[in-house]
Amino acid sequence: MVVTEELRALYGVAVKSWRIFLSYRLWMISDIMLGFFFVGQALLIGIGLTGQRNSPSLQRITGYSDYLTFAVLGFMVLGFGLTFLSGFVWSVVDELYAGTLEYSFASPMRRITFFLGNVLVRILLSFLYMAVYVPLFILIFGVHINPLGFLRGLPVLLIGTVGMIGLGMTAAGIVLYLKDPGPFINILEMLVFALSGAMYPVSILPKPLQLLANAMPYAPTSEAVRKVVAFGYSNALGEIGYLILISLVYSISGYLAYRWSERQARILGLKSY
Amino acid sequence: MKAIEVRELRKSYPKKIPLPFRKVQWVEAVRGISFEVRRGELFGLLGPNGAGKTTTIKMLTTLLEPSGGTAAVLGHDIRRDAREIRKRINLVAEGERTLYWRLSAYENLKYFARIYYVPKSEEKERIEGLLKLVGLWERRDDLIMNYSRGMKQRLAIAKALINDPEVLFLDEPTLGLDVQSALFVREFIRKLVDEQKKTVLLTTHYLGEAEELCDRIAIIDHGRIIALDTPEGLKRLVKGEDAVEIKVRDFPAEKLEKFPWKLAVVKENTERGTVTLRGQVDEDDLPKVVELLVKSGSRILSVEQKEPTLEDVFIKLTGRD
Amino acid sequence: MAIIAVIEKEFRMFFRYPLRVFSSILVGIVFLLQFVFFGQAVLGGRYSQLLASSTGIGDYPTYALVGYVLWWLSVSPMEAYVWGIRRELQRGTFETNIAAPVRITELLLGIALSWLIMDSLLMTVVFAFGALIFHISITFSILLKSLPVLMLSFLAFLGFGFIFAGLVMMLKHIGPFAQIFEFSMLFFSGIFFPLGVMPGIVVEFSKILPLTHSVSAIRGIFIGKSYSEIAPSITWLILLVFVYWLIGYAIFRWAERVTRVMGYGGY
Repeated sequence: MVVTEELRALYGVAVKSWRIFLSYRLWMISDIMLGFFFVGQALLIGIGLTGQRNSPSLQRITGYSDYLTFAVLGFMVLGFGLTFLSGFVWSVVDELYAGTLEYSFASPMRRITFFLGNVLVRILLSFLYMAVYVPLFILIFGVHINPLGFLRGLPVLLIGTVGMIGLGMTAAGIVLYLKDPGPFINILEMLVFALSGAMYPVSILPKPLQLLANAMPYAPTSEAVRKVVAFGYSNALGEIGYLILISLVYSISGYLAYRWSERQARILGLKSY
Repeated sequence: MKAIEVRELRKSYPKKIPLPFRKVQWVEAVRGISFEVRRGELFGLLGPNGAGKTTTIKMLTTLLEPSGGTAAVLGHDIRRDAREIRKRINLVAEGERTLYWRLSAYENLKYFARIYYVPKSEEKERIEGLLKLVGLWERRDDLIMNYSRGMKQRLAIAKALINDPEVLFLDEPTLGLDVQSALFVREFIRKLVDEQKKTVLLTTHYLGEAEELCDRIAIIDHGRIIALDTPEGLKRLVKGEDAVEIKVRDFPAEKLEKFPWKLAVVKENTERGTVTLRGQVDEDDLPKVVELLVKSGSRILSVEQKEPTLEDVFIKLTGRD
Repeated sequence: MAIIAVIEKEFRMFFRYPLRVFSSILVGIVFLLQFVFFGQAVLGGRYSQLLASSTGIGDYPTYALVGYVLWWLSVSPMEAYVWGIRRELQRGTFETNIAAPVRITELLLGIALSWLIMDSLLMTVVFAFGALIFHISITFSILLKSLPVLMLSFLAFLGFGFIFAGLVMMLKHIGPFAQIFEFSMLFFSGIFFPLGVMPGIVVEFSKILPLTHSVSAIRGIFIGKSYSEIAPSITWLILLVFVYWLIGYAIFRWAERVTRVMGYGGY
């Protein structure tokens, strides 16, 4: 059976990906710590500058007066997004550097299976991180998350995820054929980081950067999630509509990039390092 | 004065980092070896992988602290006078990543010239001379990452000559090279000894290489030297005992260990299912060997008598190929 | 001088790839912008009365920019050892270097110094960029006055980082540990927020980090304090230079002995 064969291959890729993760246990700890640094930093900046837990000025721009909740939601979208972009792209590029990618690509499995197998593990891992973060953020930093609101945000996050995966696949398809993929990925990561709207509303950025931010799936996801969590679906229809559009565009672009890279691989071959 | 003198040298590695208050197990890699290398000699350490060759080279080049015994290079104790020794020796380490891939050949040599204290007045001339000697002058400005394996090894040898060393250590210098490159390297090494009067200690697990190149060879196995002589002297160990090569089909390899004669698999053709065995067998014993092989289910394709080679010495001493 | 050769080698390898240089600068800028923009969004402006009363500087972008640039430079020697040396260990070039007659300490310091100089160049760009977009006014005399303190700080940072030289040689893989440590310094030395919001014990602990004193001295200069007014910070820095060089060297000697038993390669 073709389908079961492909599913077995998918399972194989996912298991491999998961095993490789486990071999970097120490990095997982340091990754999780990073979340606490990030949110802790936000809290201390807020208290150090205003002496309060609420910010009237943030309320004016975004509707959120609790800056910590604002940052936590942004951080989670960003964390989610980065697992698809850097996590995903690096896992492919690392295999390229190590020389194992060619073996995977030489197998009869469809290449999309390889990508999806890697993505699957990333999604699982993101949820795992969230399961660690959310209770601890509430406990340590006293973040106010209304469980109902949080659950309301999840479907929106998933819509955004489709776009993020699309962008990740576009990037992975392209970087494989660059001379020196490392710095290119770094630059892309930094753009995402700066324009994700995680720590501040993108509306305070200069106009050209705002346009760029809204052209990538991250900031629209952050905005839509925040809006839905705080004000419900009916008040966020515009944001959700835009997010669906963006996600659609990126999934198409991801698919095209994947097709292109498949053709390219036959013409150029993979580079060896 | 000898170029290298080694007395009862030992080395054990800890299985874990030996932090204070931590009990660690130690693994013996070199178990008390002694030998001397004369000046201007090309001396070979021959042995299978894991025999302790690299460990020995690393101790002699002062990169590793011995666990016991003594050794002197050019009259200097390897424990006390590491810096003096390092100025007057050099090495080609195993593997292809011993130089900076993101620098050009010229930049690599310039860097090593400086950390080997080559006088500034000689630097330029020496680098140019070496690059020409190993045939890389035309490609001097290319990054090493774009070099072939053979070119990388030639550059590694040029680097090893940058301080005009009196003693040169080469760890598996032809490992992984194509036929032409390996030939170039071997001829080059021999010339260094014959023309420039350098002392060379090299390790190899290629029998042919040791036999062809070395003035004297120490066969090392499980951390011990089991024979040391000139190639001719070593071959005398098996003189009178004829070497026999038997080509068989359907040979059950696991039976080999129980044979009363030391035979080793020297060639295997999996496609045709044939195996060539080699070892010392007396004329009187030959029929018994053949009988035993037939009984074990193999089909004899040919039986040939051969001149003894270093391979036979090796098989006789270590019981393996 | 072998140390010059090491610096030249590191520079060549880094600046050979303009895209890498650009991406490093971008990382520097983005990280800075995150927190400054966040602070400004929460504050609804750039001036914090509370910050002024607790630290003497009320202008948040100035406060954050000075701290951030110094933080980056303070972890530079650490990064040089944790990543630079590790890379050479992994690739096998480290052993080729060790086999040379040059002293290991000279090799190690050469690498740390190269990274510190390269990071200083990158941070000059980041600082200029930050000063430009946040409209921070800098006078020539402030820069001139900061220079001696900066040099003293560099000495302290190099000594502090040297602790990691020994550790990485011996333990080889300490990346995650170092990353956690580097980010902790953002908290302990009051980079993006005033140290006063931390519990008293943390404030006391932060005094053993050279970064804390370096940041407070240079921030002092930026608001027009004289050398005599920042003398306590400078005294601390001088003291820490000696302490960390001694500790760093002792750890290195011990680690070197262990490494010579274990082997420098072994990946």
